[in-house]
Amino acid sequence: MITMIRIYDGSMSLNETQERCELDQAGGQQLKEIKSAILDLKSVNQQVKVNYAGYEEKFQGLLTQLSFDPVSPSKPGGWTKLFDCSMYVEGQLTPISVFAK
Amino acid sequence: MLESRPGLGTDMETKNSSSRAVFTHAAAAILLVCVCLVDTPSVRAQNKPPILSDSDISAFSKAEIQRLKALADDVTKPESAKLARNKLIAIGVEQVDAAFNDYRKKSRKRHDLLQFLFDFLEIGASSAINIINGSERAREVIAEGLSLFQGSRAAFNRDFRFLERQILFDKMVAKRSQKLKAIYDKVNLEVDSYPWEQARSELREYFYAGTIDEAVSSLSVDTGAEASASLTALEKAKKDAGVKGKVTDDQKRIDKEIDPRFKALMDSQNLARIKTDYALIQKDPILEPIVRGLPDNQGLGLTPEGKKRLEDSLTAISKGTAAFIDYNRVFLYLRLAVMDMLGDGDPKPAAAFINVLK
Repeated sequence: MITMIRIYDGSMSLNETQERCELDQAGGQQLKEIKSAILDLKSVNQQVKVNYAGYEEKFQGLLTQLSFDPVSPSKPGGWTKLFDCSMYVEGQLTPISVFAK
Repeated sequence: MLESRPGLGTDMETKNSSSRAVFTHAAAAILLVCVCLVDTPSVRAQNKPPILSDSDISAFSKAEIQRLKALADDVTKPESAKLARNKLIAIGVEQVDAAFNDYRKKSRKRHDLLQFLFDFLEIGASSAINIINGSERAREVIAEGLSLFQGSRAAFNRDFRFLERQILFDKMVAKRSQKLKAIYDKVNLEVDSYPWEQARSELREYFYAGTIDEAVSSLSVDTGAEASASLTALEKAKKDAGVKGKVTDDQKRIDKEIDPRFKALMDSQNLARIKTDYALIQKDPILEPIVRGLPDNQGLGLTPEGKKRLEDSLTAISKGTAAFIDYNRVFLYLRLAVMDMLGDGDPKPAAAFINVLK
């Protein structure tokens, strides 16, 4: 069950988003899903592209390293596929596979 | 051959002379319209009232200005020096205003006349293409000439900022008003605090505020400042909404310090040890309020399930019934909270957390 949802700036690069997810899950939260969205910032009358990242508590056996790649069914080298998603990468909606080990 | 067809040359000459006549009549009519336009009130400037005639007033009398300067320099008579200085300021303002208004009037006339001439030439060339009864080559030449003229007009407008004239003048008026207010705010100061030399320097700035260069420079600065302010407002709005950006170098560095210590503690599954560390957190003036506020920390992004689990763990800890996993949970979210605060520019909570973990 998702216990934490973090909002990430959709203008970040793929690598920057991956680093952010690795930092936020460190210590006991496994990245579970990423969903793209448009956030309405009423105070400045602007809309920004964001990614909502859902995490689930996992105190044992956390897969700490993440790899965000173009969509593929698997990745060699001991990587476990977590999920596929469509997320904002530098402002563009991009299909991504998320692996972890 | 033309010679074997006697009527052809005569027809051509007749058609050309008709076209010329049309052109001549059209030019005369347009010239008449121009003369009428020039005489309309909206084109002519207003007449100056006699009291403001340049030749009569002291603002343009060198002898009077010299006399006032001598009085303004006489510090033995502060009251008359102050009065003389203020009169000189008023004279300076009047001279600068006269120069500015004269420049603005001439600029407006020149601008309007040039725009009319450009429009007239464009319309004339466009019409000539249709009116002319000559060869295809003649039409092509006129069409090319028209394209050349239109391109040159666009370059002229851009390079000489012709179309931005009104914006620049508005900027000049605004800057002049600012400078003048700054001068008038000081007219009650004594001459030892605000001598004539300083006032003259500020009058010079007042004059420059009414120049094109100053207006262009000011426009660039203002536009840049507005863009910067907009970006700052956007970043603040994102931060207030909990939008996280890329991991900072400080966060990477501190995480490298925290991670092995945190991992060692959690891997130990040592309840006594983690209780001791938690007791240190409770005594720390920086960390204790952060822990207390964790369930309501919007920036963490806790879901209702996540918040409930955290609250239950904190309750169990306070009652002394907590298991290792409860302490693990609190430490996990405390770590995230101090890293968020580090990202916002506050390194103290992270430093305090590292101290506890040592």
